[in-house]
Amino acid sequence: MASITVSDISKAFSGQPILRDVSLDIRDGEFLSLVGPSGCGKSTLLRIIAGLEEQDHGSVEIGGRSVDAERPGRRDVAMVFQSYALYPHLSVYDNMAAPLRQRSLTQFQRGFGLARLLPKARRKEAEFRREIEATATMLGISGLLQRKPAQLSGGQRQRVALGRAIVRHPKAFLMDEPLSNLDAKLRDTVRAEISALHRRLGATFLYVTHDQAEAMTMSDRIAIIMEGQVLQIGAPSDVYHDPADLRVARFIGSPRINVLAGEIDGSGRAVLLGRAFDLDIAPPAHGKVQLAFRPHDAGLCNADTAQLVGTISHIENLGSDILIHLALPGSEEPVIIRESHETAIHRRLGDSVGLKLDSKKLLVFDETTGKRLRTPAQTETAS
Amino acid sequence: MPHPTAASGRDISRRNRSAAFLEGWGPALVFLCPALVMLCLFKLWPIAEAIHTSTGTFDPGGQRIDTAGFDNFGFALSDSRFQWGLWLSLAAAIVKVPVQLALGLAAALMLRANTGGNALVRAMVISPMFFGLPVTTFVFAYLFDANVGAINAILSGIGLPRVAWLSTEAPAQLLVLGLSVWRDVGVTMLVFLAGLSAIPPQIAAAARLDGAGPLALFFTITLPLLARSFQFAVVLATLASFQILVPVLMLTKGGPTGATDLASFQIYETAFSYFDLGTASSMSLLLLVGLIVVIALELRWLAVKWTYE
Amino acid sequence: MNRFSSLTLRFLLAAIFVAPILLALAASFRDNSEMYRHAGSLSFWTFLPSEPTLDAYRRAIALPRLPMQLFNTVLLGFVMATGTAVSSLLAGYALSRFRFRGREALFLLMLFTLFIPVDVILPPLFFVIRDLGLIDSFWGLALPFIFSPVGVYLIRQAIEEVPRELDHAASLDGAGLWEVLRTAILPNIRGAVIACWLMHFVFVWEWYLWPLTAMRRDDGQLAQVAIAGLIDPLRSTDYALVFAAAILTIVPAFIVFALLQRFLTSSQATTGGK
Repeated sequence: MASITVSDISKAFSGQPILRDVSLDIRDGEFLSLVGPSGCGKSTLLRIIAGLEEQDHGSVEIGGRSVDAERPGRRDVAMVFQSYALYPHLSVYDNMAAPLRQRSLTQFQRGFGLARLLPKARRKEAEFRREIEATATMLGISGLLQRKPAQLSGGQRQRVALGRAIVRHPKAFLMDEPLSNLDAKLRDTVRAEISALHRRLGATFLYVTHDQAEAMTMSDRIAIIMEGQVLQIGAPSDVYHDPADLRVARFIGSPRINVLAGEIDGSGRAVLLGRAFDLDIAPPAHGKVQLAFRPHDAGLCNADTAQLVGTISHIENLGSDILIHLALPGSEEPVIIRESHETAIHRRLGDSVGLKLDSKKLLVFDETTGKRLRTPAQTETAS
Repeated sequence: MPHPTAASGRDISRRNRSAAFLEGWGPALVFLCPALVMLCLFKLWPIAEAIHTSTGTFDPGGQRIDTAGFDNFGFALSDSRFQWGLWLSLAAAIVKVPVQLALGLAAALMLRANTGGNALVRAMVISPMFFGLPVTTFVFAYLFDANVGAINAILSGIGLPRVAWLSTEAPAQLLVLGLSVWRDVGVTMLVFLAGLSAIPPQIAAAARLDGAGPLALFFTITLPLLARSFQFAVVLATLASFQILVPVLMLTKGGPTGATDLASFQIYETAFSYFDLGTASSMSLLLLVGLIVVIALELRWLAVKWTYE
Repeated sequence: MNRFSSLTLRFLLAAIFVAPILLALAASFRDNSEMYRHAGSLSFWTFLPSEPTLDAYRRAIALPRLPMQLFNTVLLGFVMATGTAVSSLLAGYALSRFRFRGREALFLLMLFTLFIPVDVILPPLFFVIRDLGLIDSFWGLALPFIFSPVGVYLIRQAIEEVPRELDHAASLDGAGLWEVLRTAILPNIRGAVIACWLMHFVFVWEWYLWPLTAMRRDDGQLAQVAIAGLIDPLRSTDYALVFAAAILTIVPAFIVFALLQRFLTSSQATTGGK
């Protein structure tokens, strides 16, 4: 088990910057997700930590020791790949034994099958067998040990890939989108299993995904990466409720956050579609801001008494809740409001309704930099 | 750079582990070494050697006695026999390529369906490749033998005159070209079969729904979509048409009366019978350039600008 | 096209390619004088032996140098095939997995050598081998063709099909460059390596020009080149002997091919993912 420290990592592929001065601290035993849209550099960062890719600048420490000069095999981290990377010609047992043999048998013992019959190698093989069988039992694949990968289902292959990583007892587990080749239903099951595995092993997990829901449900902390930079690191609830950047706010949460353009006037009030809200925020020099709120942080009210009025353009029934899409004059995207089934069931398309905003829950972002502007109250809770 | 010392320190550590990274020539060279050495020794050096010897004059023992500049090229190009040889080589390509393509395409279309019988016939069409050029040349020598050959027996059996295949001009040319086409048509068929199987069946289905008949289907869908296979098959056939020296050397020796006096045969004779190394090398280079020009032109004319998705 | 005519067409097509070979096979069981006797008039016996005999095979085996020459062909086949497979495997690995400046250019240069047929470059190649002192030697025959652009292409394409994640998994387990090749890549491209080996093994039976030029010793010569010397197109050739010897020559190639070809279809690479 070990912590991982990444400092000032930069990487460019043929002149195209992929990572820009990324620094990250992964604590010992932590489950940290790297999440971001595809092409944001999160996989590259993972592969740099593993040693499969070389950084242009910066350094990686695993367990407090710099590994920049170490080959991937010496870094003692295990990786679970998106395609699982099982050796197609080897049985499940041999797939799981491969890292053990690679690490503790000599070149001679590895290269020649007959050499494995020698007493020393046989003692080691017996150890491997115990280890593999224990891991296989834990993962529920002990009945599959003699099969070839082609004879397994996607979920089974996924477990074999996990098993191959576990038998090694590595310092850290690196996972590169391990669930994206599974179908949706299986994904939910395996998600819970991986979380349970993490609790059980107590090992450091670094998990790359483009699916924010996956990151939210599994992680101790989430690092949101976009355009080669870490925008925010924090617990799932922090990045959800207290995003530091408009891009983070937009990326995390489903349905998406509502964003409306507005201004902050001299007295710190937000002006939104011609209406003013008391916020008490120091305005940026140009005064232009983006105001954002989660679908459950606003409500609908009678059109006559409301500050903002729109028409219902679409209704999405999720079963327990209902999402109301509200077209506001002056805003291109509709605003999405989550209402409970009971209150929303009588709403009809084309109804004119009012939008009720809670100014305490409004998130304000500088329009040009995208950075969060906090109200005094929000600053207090954040710190 | 803000920390020059730190950066250089990192460079040193990086060099140490370069074996772990697949970057740079260093580790690649270890694996490339055998192929690279062979490539340089036996593909690039002969060309350099040809360029070097083509600018010299040699005594019959192979010693370089003088520098000739471009005289050898001038001599070769102004020699009417070599002009004839170049023309013959080009003519061989002009005849062989279309004939072989038409036959190969016809065979591929006929044997397109994946049935057991078709697989057997396909195997038979490509079988001449497995016997090797020398043995197939023996077979043709026997088949077209003036006295005991089956072809002449059949000709006389149906009342036609027997042909002295190897000592008459046109029949000798026909024999050499026929052998080459017979042997290589299987390759062309394989290329077209691969191309046909790459055509998504939905495209043909869509055209049929639009009301295209079999002929329209062939000319508007199949043929255009085979463009890539055409390109590949044409280049392969052209290359092969410059390699029909074996039957010439074994059977006709350039004759009768120069009917099969290909440029490559003249190169062989100039080098190994007349020991005129300078001229032979310049002829080699001229023929090589001619071949490359022909293939470049073909690739240009047959350039394909679309892809499947 | 109805069923009958389509069958007839297929039969004709097959006959065009197989009949000459079968005729040659039949000729090897004939007696020379018998062959000439029936050549004049068209009959069944113009094509087939009326009195099948193994006499030609007996005479072929008795040819003083044929066993040695046959051995040369087979040995050359093994050396060429193995050398090409190994050099192509290593080069294909480097060209697929390593990143270095000019990698694509080098690959294109290698492919470009396809356009240099031996017919055209024969004299200068001969001079190079002469300068290396390898004329009339076994290695003079073999070395120039151990580098094969087709082999490099074939193996590189096969390696490209192997997911890079397999290499990465192996190197995370601690495998070095050679071991990645051995454990992660080689087992997945067995089919391509065997295809490359077989192709270049059979390719030796194609040879005529190069051994004719670079090998002047009779006992170092390849069987097919020596047999070609028995043919004299302008006088009466002993075809029975030619074909008996030729068939003896290609039998080893067929045996090896039959033994190995089942690996070609059975070992299609299946990836561990998806």
